[in-house]
Amino acid sequence: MTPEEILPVVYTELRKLAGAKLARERQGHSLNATALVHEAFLKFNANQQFDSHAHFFAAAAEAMRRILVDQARARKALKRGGDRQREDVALDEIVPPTQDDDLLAVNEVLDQFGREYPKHVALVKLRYFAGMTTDEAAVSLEISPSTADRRWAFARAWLKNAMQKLHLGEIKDSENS
Amino acid sequence: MTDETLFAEALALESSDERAAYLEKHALDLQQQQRVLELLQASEGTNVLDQPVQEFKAMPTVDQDTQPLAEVGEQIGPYKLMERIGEGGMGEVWVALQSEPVKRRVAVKLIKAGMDSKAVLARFEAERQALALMDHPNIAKVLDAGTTQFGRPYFVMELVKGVPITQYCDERHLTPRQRLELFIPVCLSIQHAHQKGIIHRDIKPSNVLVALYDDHPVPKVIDFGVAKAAGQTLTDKTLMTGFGSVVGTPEYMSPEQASLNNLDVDTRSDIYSLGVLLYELLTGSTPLDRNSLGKAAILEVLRLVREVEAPRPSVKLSTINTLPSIAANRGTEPKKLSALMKGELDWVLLKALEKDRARRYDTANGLARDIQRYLADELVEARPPSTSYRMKKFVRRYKGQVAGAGLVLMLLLAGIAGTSYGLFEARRQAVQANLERAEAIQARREALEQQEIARQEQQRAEHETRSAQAIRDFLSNDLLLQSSTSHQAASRLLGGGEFKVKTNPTVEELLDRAAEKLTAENLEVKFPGMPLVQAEVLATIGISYFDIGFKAADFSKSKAFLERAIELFRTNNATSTLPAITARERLARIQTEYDIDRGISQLEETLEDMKRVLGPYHRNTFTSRIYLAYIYATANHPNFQKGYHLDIVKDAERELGIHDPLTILARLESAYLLLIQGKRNEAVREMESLYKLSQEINMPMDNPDFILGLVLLATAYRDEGRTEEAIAVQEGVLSYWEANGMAADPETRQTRHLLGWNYMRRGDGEKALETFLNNVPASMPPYDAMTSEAIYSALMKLERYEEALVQIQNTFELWFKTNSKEDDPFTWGRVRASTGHTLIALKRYDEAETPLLEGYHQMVKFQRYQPPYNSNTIPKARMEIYNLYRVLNRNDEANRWAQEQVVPGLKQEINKRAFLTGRDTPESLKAAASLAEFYRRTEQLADSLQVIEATLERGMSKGWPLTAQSVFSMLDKSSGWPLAMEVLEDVERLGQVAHECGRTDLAVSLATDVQTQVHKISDAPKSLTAKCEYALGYFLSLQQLPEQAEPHLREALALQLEHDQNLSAAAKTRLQLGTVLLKLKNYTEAETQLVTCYEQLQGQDQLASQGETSQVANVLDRLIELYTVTGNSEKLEEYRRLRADLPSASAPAAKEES
Repeated sequence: MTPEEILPVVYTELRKLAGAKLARERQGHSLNATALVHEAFLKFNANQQFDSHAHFFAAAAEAMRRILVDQARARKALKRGGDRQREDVALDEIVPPTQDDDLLAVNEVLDQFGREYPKHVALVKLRYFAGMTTDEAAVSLEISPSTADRRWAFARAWLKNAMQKLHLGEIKDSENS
Repeated sequence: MTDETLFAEALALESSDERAAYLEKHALDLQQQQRVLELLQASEGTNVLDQPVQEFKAMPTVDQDTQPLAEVGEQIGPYKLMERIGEGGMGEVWVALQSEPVKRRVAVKLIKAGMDSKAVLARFEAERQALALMDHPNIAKVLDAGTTQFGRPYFVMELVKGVPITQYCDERHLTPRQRLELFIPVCLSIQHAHQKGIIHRDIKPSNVLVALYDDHPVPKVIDFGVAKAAGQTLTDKTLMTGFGSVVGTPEYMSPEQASLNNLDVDTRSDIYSLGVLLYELLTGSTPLDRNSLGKAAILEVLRLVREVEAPRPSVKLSTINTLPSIAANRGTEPKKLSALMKGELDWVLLKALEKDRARRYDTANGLARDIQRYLADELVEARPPSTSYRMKKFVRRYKGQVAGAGLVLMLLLAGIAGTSYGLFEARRQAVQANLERAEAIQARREALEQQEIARQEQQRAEHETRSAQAIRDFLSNDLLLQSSTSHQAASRLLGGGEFKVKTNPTVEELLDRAAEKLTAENLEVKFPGMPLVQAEVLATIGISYFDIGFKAADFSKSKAFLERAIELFRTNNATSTLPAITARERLARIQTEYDIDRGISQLEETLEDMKRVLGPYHRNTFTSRIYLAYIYATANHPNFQKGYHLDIVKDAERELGIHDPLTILARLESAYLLLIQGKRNEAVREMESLYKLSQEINMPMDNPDFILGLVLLATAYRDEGRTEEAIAVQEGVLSYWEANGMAADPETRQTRHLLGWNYMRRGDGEKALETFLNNVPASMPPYDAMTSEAIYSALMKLERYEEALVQIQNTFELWFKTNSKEDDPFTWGRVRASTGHTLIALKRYDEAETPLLEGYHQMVKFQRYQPPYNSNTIPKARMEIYNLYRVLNRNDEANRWAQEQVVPGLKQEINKRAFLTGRDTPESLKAAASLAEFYRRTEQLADSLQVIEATLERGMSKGWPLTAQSVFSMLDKSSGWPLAMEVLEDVERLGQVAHECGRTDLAVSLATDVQTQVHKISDAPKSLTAKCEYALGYFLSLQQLPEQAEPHLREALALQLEHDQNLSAAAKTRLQLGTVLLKLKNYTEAETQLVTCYEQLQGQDQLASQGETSQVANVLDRLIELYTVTGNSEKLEEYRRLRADLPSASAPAAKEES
């Protein structure tokens, strides 16, 4: 399977897995993203042949990102509505808002980064969205730890810089208006 | 430079000023400078990216589309699918209606796409006969198998309407006893299958269903034969092609199933899985937590399965926070449940869950019988971990770490390098011997530790009061005095000669004599009205018994005295006095031999008392803590995992100082425990630091633990390419052992063997030969063969081929004196190939072919038995066969061999190295260089260049993203310089090939890359810098850029002359420099360099090998060229004559792949 073919399958698989897990667990139970990706890998890979281990994880990282971004957006929407309409939202339904905002901000700049640095972007996704350590991500993507370290150092600076700029832009806009 | 490179380089600089300056100097333009500056600023401070999204909660939309593999009503062969009843990793299970030959309901298991259905069916057919023989009420019969019209394999089984056994037990709140009763038939059904030759391979709750027949629960094991048919073993190949299918559920996998390339899974693997299942039934979770497994990467998961010991079920239960609900599910109370597990059930489970399958129950029946015994309140067969057993376990884990890292373990792998895997029996014996040795060493270690305490106590005694004085009197009169011969002689005279004079009574005998006198009455007579003194005397004897012996027999004596002493202390309200605490501490240690958990809590208790009475940092307190750390480790106690031993080291360093023997003891212990935890690297670094410390303070080597640590350190040095350091350590250890009467002990011989090979690595054949010959007199057969083969290798190195031929024939006989070819297939191939290799060296080409080919094919066929340190033998033989065909002018065969064997083999090697060591490693680089060289030799220039370009990370479409740069950036982190030298040599090899392919520019690029890297390393050895300057100068000269080449060559020469007096390297440099100067028309200096070079080469002519002969020719040619240009006809004539006298370069000998 090519990486393009893998993504939708992995995406469905991850959602299914997460859905099934959450349905089984108590209300408000949370899932570990890394564990989920690895479980998907074990489960999934028992039957599928990929060209490489790295392809799977790259796809899984992107799938994870989409799921998390969808979630964060949905939660934000819910929260906005909830704030106005009812006060008694169960505490465990609310994830600390900062994390959602951060997540969406990272998401915002990630695509541009990916266009400029296609080799680096899967690493960021695995590390940030799937919660892997840099070393784990390196193994998953079949790159050396030193390469991963180098790329990560660069990516985090680049993304922070980009996010800051985005943020500054907003302030300027509001000043102008 | 790209933004990224610039950023990385600048980031490595310390101050912002330096960074700014660097950017100013290297940025392409102002924009880039500004961009990177921003990035540098952004890399400071907090960053949201550093808090990854770890967890997430409810999904707003859950996709319920599960896309079943089939639809209701679908017809598959004679089976009509009715209802989907399950889904698993492998596929789906359906209830189906069979129409013919009988009408019945069956279960159809559809296997998911992606598996090779032909292979699945073939494997199933192979086992069908055996499956049909199974007939057991607790086994669901496998009825049929086939493929659907879409080519999807399916299995048809007897329909079992049941639920997983764990679920059944929990839902019904079965008590542990009921669970055990239900589990027995499961064991018996597995036994039945084993007797029919079927291994299940995938025992887990969902494959053991419980159905109700007439209201009776009946367990049914399903899926027999499915795992094998659908499965693959873990192999290099499956891992390389994206890990393939890992068959089995990690939690239930046996360690042998979790190892790579292990084709050798037998019925005992099922016993292990049964153990896991029972563990879960009783404790509510598997030994390896689902959670902790889920988070780890696949290789890590497998490693955990192989290495992590199962926590004792009772311990696991007592640490788990869901205990109340687990207990409730078992119709009991939390306390009762963990109490129930303690003792025999613990032992039964741990026996089933042994990592070493030889220690498990032999059969499933054995496990069932022990459960039955337990239920009938009889003694179970499983035993608690005893001291000696624990010691073995300790060593075994140690082995796991070391051997797992591909190292040669001195303690256990008796055979080490050269020992073949087939010599199981011999190795078993050797292992046994070493275990006993290890136990003895452990005992010595304990004794040392105890001496330390004894010394302290003696000192203190001097300040004590009357009671201590009385005790000392007793000791000196009744105990110590007896050790003097004069006293013995005197008593003999006095006692009418009944006493035998013994010049050197053992401490134990002395203790026995003293003990005899210590009846209660005697004590009262000797120390009237002094119960505390009596107690102290008893305690002293008890402690001494403990301290001198590690054998269980001594514990009973020790225990009796300690118990008497403690009883006396107790009745006199003195349990918190120092002697009482010490006695209690020893008794607690003894307790750990019988019940480790109780022992631990007693040790913890006495330690608290000690801290209170003596202070937290008293020497005795430290000794006790060190012992406790060791016990924590053997019990796999949570405190061990938390690094209890590390805290001791910290405290000892602070309170006692770094040179104190106790601090060193604590660090040694800590190094061992790090090793047990799998932190091998940390353990090695700790040993290294201890080694350096020991040299600083001239510490004697007399601590056995320390020496074992040194042996480990030497192995680590060797693996890091730090041969000289390894040699220094090994020489030290050897001379200590030799001076202490251990010259012929197994570990001495092993170290000698390893030292010999290190001499070989250094190129010192003479010394290696001498060292190996020192190992000859011993008579253990496997050693002899191994030593013989080592001697052969040394003779080859010394080019004493005739003797080598005799030696290798001798080796062959030694290996196969008692073994057959089948016993030890890989060794057979290796030795056979060596014979061929020797014949080639003797130029007896025609005779060489048969042994080489036979050896090669045998090795390839039995590659799975290949010891890790023999990894080079197959490639070497492969290349030699190719060379042989060329030498014999059988070119068609040579070409076919190249196509069918050499190139695929080299490619496989690259993948394998990349997988095992990573892509950016010296090993991968070496493999790539070998492929490039071979392509070049066979005139496949384009392919060769492609490899080289991949190495430069330029032309990598699907190549190997391996760069000299990344290799070096990795090197400076950890490894030693010799490895860097090797990398440099491989880069040179690649460069040479590039040059020969007409792409000298690539060679220059490679050399430039490396030079840049080496220059960055501030403490790089001069020889390394010289070598890389030379390489760059050399390739620049080949590139016809003499002006650029000159400074590099001059730099290299200066370094070589100044720093390491490396004359042969200097001669090489002079030759190149002379050539360059010649091109630059600097004739005077060119002449000086070339003539000096020629003289130096002449000076070494006794060493002249092929390479140097051609160098001589080369330098003479340059001189002739020089004098032609300068018109010096006299000199011209002279050198022409010298050139003509040179032996014409013989046909280049078959070049070996390095």
